[in-house]
Amino acid sequence: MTLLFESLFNGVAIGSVLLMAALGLAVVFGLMGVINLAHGELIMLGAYTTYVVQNIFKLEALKPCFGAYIFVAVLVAFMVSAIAGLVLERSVIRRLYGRPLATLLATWGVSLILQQFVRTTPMAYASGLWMTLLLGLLMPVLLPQRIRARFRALHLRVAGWALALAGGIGTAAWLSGISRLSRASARNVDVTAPKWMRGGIELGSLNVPVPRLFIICLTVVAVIAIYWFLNRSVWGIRIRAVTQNREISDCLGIPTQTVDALTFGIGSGLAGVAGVAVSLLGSVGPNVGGDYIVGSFMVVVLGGVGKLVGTVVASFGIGLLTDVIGAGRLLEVWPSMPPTCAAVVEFFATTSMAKVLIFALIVAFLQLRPAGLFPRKGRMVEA
Amino acid sequence: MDSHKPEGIRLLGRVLPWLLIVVLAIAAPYALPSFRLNLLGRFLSLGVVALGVDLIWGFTGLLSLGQGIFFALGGYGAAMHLQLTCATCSRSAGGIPEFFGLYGVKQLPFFWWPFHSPWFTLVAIWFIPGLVAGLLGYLVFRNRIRGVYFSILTQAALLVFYNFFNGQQKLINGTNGLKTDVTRLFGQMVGSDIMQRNFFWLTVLCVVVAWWICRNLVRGRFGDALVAIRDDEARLRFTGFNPTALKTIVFAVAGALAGVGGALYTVQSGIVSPQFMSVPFSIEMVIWVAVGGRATLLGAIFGALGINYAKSLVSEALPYLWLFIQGGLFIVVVTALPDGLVGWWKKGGVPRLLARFRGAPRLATYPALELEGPDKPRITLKGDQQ
Amino acid sequence: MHGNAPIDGSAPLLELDGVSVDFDGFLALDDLSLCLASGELRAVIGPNGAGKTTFLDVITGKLLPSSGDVRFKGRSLLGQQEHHIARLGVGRKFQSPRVFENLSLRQNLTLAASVKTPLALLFGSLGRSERDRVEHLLGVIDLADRPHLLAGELSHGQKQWLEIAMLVAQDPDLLLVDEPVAGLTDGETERTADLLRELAGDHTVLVIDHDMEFIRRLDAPVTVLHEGHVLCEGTMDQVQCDPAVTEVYLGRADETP
Ligand SMILES: Nc1ncnc2c1ncn2[C@@H]1O[C@H](COP(=O)(O)OP(=O)(O)OP(=O)(O)O)[C@@H](O)[C@H]1O
Ligand SMILES: [Mg+2]
Repeated sequence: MTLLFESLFNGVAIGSVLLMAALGLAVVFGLMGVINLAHGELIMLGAYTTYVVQNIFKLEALKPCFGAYIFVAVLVAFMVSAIAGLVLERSVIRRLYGRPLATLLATWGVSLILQQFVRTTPMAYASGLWMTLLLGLLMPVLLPQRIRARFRALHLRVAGWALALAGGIGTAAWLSGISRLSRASARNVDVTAPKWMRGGIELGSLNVPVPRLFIICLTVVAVIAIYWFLNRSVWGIRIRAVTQNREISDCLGIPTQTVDALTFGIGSGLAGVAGVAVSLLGSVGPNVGGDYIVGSFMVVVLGGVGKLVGTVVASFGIGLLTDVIGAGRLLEVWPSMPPTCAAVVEFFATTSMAKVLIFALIVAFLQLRPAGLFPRKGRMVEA
Repeated sequence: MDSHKPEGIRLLGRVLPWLLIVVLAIAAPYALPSFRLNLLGRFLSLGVVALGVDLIWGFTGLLSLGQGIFFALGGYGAAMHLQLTCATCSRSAGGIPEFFGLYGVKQLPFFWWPFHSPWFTLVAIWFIPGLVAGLLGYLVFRNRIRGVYFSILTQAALLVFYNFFNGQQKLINGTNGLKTDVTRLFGQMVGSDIMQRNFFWLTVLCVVVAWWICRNLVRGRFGDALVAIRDDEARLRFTGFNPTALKTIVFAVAGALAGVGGALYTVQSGIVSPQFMSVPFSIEMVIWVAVGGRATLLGAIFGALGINYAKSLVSEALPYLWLFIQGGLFIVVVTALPDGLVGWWKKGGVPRLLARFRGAPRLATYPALELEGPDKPRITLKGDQQ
Repeated sequence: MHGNAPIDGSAPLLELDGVSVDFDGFLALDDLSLCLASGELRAVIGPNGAGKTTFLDVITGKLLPSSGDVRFKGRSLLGQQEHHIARLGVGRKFQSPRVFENLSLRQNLTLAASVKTPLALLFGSLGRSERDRVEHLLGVIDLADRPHLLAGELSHGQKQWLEIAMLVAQDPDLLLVDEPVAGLTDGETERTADLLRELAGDHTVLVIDHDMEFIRRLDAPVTVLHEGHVLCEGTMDQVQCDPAVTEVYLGRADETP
């Protein structure tokens, strides 16, 4: 019984990280048809953001509320990755709608650049850059109408970006004071969880680590939020309209460009939140995104592209399987199995071999149901 | 255009490039320092791989992100043979390659056995990758998995192989890979200068043969059918073709080419390891073709050569810069140069570029009105071509 | 052009027997039965959404009917793959023209005319008659002087014609032609009708269209499809006088307010 619970919990925990990582992809890939191979790097940005926020909260002034930094980190990580996503969409993806393989290659290039960027740029400067972008993008919204009306658009733009730049430089200078953020390094960094997150909670006979629990809660909130957004808000309908027929949507007066940017931004922001979860599980390095990207794509494909339910089911399914195979659960349940079976179970009872088996199983499953667990139906699928 | 030239010049035009290739190939080992020769040989073997990528992606539209599997399989085949036949290498108990001793393996795993034979190895380095590619391709294509789904699945397959090879120390030395440079072949050290020269010539020969095979595949109606698959696979089916069979065949050929390239690369780089199956490397192969020019065979070869040469140059000088450049290349090629350099050249990119510097001529009317006519090309809007 | 002699003068070439297609409860085809004799030319009309395209989908193997049987030359086509069915001698033109845009006109036609197995594509060469047919068809579609033009650069109407020509080049026993004259001028429409009439006899031709002038010119028996089943059959004049047909096309008189 305990065994079952432990396995179940581990599976859900693994699955929720997967789900968190795949959620953004489900939006960007499932709805927009963009293969974003830089998604892993957006996760990485979120993870690094957590590190930066944590270091800021270690400053004297903020020390008392160190315990709350993780919540701030979730928000900031969302924004950091969303901004990166926005810039990416505006500059590159925009030219490539309807050419999924092209987006795949281009975003791979972006992912290389982002990786090398975090290797070579001190986090303080990077933060400054992001602050500039944030302020610059928000400036038109932030400024009071009175001021906006008084100046010419171009002047306002230039002044706005100049202000933003000043803000960015200020941020960079301020953060350079923190020694850990002032130098570039390709080495991994470790995020320390706040005190209340360390240790575990006794749930019956099970000792549940708090960070895991936190991630599960975070995932639940994110799924509910994104479900509401896509199915209940007017933007969700617009997104679906634009992805199905761009020209007609344009003609109907839907601001397609805004919709594109918004969707991509939200998908990317979710990657940032996933980054917070990832940073709680292990050390953070430039390559951390690579560990998640293929898995996330498999989750989306397995679940059925464009189906949120599919993504949820698939990630928990994969999570459970990972635990069952990777920890050799079958042996625990049935210690007296024939030696040949036992040998097979043991052969796969490592993290990397479990991955091998699971990918192989997924590929096999897609042989039976090429469109995934929850296939889309209808005429348009064939085309 | 050619038909206006006299017969002699046309013949010369045919023969001259080949002559040039032969002369350059013979001369290169004497002209280049051994380090550069080694690099050139390695890059040429990557050219063989690129031809395969071009075949499946450039012509047929299948973007495989798993070519590393076949590349590594070819490499492992060659390395296993060299490890087995090396008489002077140090051995562990039982006369089997040394690394087995580290993991307490006493008996040669069964699948190593046939690699004692050089003939088997010569066949295996292209046949096994081709077979694996064919099987994998058949399974995927049979279910009409296409486009990005195919790409994602091949990448997953790549990870399966990568993790498997990484985890199996007792079978193929896991992460460490198999070294070949200290083994001996025909009494010569594989890493020696003399062998390097021979390998270089062998590689040039392989590139030419591979090019010839690909050219014959893409030229006639078979090639047309491949392009038709890229255009509208379902339509092709209703015409009576079986795209599954066609795709399986080209995918297997591309796999075999990757295997040959992998074997050649391994003997010249001195080691094969699971890193050959890393995700970035397989995607890199696509950029060689993309920069050189999709659906142009020479573009693929020159793309592989050029990019890798640039990579080694930049990495020598400014190591941290290369990834930025490579990343930028991906973006620029996809957004601005979808036909690659050769395609751009063929479509008259150079005159157009020059014209831009000179300033475009002012047109009094719409160009379509003037150019329309029975033997002039129709001007089409950009959107029509897609 | 060669003509596959009918296996048996009396047996129908194509036979649909109680075919139904069910899309999640919506019956796109509802117990549809239809026979085509060898060498026949048949026109099929029906309002939008009547199930005409779906009906071709079932014959060509794109859709599996939920019940019923489709027999071609006496053999059931159910469960066969599309390319098998095509090789048996069923050719199809799609409603919206689909040609291979990155191939030239001649390549498009040659591909349609050639033997379809991979080995034949690689090592075989095109036969004399096939080559002549391709050249002839290039002339028929008025593009003989530009055989190297990419098909993607054709206009919509030219694509329609190219696809019809590809269908002819393929030389199937049964030609299924879905809306061949949509977007063609009157003159071209007439020529298409003549072309199809010419083909009938050697081939069996089934034409779907909404253009009544065109159908009339075909001078062939007409089948009216409505809500997935055959509403009536007869000559054009008979069909046009049928009150049931008027009703489905124009709506019932007493329904209009
Ligand atoms: N894959 C599908 N899923 C659900 N419904 C479908 C599907 N394919 C066709 N239908 C429905 O079947 C009905 C018949 O469609 P079909 O395309 O056969 O009509 P049609 O007679 O060809 O019309 P038109 O004259 O406009 O071409 C339509 O109501 C359509 O909505
Ligand atoms: Mg129709």
